[in-house]
Amino acid sequence: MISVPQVLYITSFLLILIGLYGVLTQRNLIRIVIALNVADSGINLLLVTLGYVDGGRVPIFTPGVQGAHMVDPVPQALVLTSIVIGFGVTALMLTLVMRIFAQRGTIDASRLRGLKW
Amino acid sequence: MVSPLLFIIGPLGTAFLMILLNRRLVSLILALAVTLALGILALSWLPLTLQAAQPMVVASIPAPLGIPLSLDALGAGMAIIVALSALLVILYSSTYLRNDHAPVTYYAVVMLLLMASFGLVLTRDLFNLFVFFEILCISSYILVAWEQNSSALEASFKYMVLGSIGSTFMLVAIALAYRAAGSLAMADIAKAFSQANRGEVIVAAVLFLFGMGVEAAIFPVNTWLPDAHSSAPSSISALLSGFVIELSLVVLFRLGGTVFAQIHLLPVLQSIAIAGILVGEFSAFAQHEVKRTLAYSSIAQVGLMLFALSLGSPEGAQAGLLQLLMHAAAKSTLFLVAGYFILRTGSRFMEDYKGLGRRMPLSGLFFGLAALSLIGVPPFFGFFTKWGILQAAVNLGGTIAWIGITSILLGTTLEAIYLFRIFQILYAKGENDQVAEMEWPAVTAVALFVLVVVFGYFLLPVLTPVAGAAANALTNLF
Amino acid sequence: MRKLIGLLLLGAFAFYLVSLMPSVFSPQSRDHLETVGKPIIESAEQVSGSANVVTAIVVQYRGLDTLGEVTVLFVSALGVALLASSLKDRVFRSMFADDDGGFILQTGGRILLPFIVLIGVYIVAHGHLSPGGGFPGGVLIATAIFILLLTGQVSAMPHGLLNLLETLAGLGFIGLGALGFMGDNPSFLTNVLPKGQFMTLFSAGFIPFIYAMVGIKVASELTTVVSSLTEEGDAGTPKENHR
Repeated sequence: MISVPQVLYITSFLLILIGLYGVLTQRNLIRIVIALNVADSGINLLLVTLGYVDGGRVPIFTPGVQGAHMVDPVPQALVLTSIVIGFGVTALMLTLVMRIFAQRGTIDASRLRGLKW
Repeated sequence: MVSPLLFIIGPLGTAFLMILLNRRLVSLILALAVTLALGILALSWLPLTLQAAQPMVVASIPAPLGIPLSLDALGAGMAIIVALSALLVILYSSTYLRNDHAPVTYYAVVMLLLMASFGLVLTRDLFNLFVFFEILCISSYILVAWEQNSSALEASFKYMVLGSIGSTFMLVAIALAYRAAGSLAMADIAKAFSQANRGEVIVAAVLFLFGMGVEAAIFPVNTWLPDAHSSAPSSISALLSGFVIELSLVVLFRLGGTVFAQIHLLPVLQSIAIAGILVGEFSAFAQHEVKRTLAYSSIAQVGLMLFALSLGSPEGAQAGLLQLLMHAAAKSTLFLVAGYFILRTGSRFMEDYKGLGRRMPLSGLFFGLAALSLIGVPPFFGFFTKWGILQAAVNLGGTIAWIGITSILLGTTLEAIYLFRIFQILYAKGENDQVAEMEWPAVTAVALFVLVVVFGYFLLPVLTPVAGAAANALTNLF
Repeated sequence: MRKLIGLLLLGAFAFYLVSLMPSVFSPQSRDHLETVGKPIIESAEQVSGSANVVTAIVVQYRGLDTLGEVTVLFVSALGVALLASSLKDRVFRSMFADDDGGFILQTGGRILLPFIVLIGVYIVAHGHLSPGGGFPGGVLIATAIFILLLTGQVSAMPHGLLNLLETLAGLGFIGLGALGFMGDNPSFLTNVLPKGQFMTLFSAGFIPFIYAMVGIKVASELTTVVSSLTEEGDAGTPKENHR
């Protein structure tokens, strides 16, 4: 019997691997950005899963509920930070892609001299 | 109440103020004042960190629950290098970037770069380290793209993709660390990892070192550096080559020596370092653009420092840190002077610099002195630091150490040839008749860097104990 | 060729990770916390006064991370504004340059706008009680402004005002954190304001105030990002004085 966190772990690693594969193989710059976002989602899922506790509750105190059985709140705070950082990087990358398109007329990495690696 | 927090809040608040006031001159003065103040503050704390057994620790909530900041000899030393190089580079920028399109944003982003640099050496929390690392990366991406021509934009994009892959890996490593230790404080993780399953630690270490290694431009993941450092404005190349990659190297190394101490990374790092030296020097030798040459030389120098640090002996680490200081001053000088060569001739290629040395006598002199020191010619600082590294390697012995020594000597020969080639062009008969010398702020800034490079030997009695204490801090997590 | 190399590299990486799976992700089922989260849950009420433990961590326990996060947003907004300012051919704008969104979108947007802003403010203000807080609340408020841009009801944002809000909120965050130096245990981000009644709106000391700052900052930065990508002309970057 496979448990909930195991499913989540496997999913998150698959997402990370799919994202990294996309980054390595795609030539369209927008797709590279999207692939990085997929990898980011995998990371976020991995972080949230770290805090999983069987039958745990949301880590918010509400009147009339005992607070002892909560999931780990720390990874959730980390995920918030990670999402915001991902947003910042994505916004900057997309702007760069727009600038590259405006100047070179293409977003095909194989036709951009500076982007061969 | 003065605390190490000032190193983070100071530059950040200044950046906000700059955007709020939105005046070029005000931003310039603020930037100069803040870097000078922080440099003096770090200098004044240096004796304290040398005497005290325990460093200054600041946290509103103590360690595993909150985020501690800790100032030790390594942190104070790096803070001095960062603040003072930034001060000089900003002084240089005041004339170099006179006609720039967005000067206020420039100074603000440089301030945020500084904030992240200080944060990286001060923090003792793995996730907080990641946050500062991201600020460092994002400000670098923006500064690399500054000139907004297609080579700068593409270099920045390439850098961003590699950097993002690196930070993805770093986050996986952090997740593994949290899984193992149940805490994000480096001390707790180090303790948990020293007892954890070996394979798990290896995976976390490889992922983390890859992530940090991208920014430190360590050999296999350095492909972004030549493009990025050569298409950025020269003041930024000086900052990036002068302390950003070195800082990442130091942070990487401290984590390797403490958190991942269970697995013996040193032989691996030594091999990577040797490969870096050879690849860097050979590639630099083949370049025709002055800044690309300097950028490849930075890869080799990072390899040299990594080699010294990874020898694993205190004297090796000490020599490596002194080399770091020397490289920060020498490479900044070279990039800053090269910036004016490009500005005056409008060309990135060395063959267009014929006769520049005679038209710009001070620039030529500074370039020559810094180059001699970088090569390691006797009376200059670079000789003593390189000698220290070689001595440490000889004392250690062993196959890898001797391969390293051979590569360093070979690299030095190549370095001497290509730097001398530039020098030869500068004083060749040539047409560049109507070029002017650098303006005085730039001359002052470069001259101060050159002072360190030339008279470093006389500073050695002061610098050696500091480097010793800092080397000690590399393997101890206070 | 690239695909093959990529696959090989990732295959090796995946194999490495999967071979570790049994030790790393042992099928232990945890029914209690052994991490640093446990002492945090226990001390959250006393230290921060916030009913939402995640908020307590984000703002107070790991407040430095949040300051860094805000800085990341700030620096990327600066970068986007800088890079987008000289886009001659506004790629994004051309998608709906001649399109005002039509009657339905316009009317719907106008009706929804106050409610979206209201919900945003509510989420910011209840960050210490319920899921949400400064980041999602700020995003919601920025969404409302984005609808205005989409429907063509507003064509240019007041960038001076946005810059003012953004930087003042940032300075406000630092200032609220610096209040901690006045407490018994002087340090940055110590919660010295009165904590009020636990689990009520007026509680948790400085947490709602910091979240308000974060909300303002996120909203104004997202608006800067979106509008510098959509507006025509050179409105993207603040007009800088070169003197």
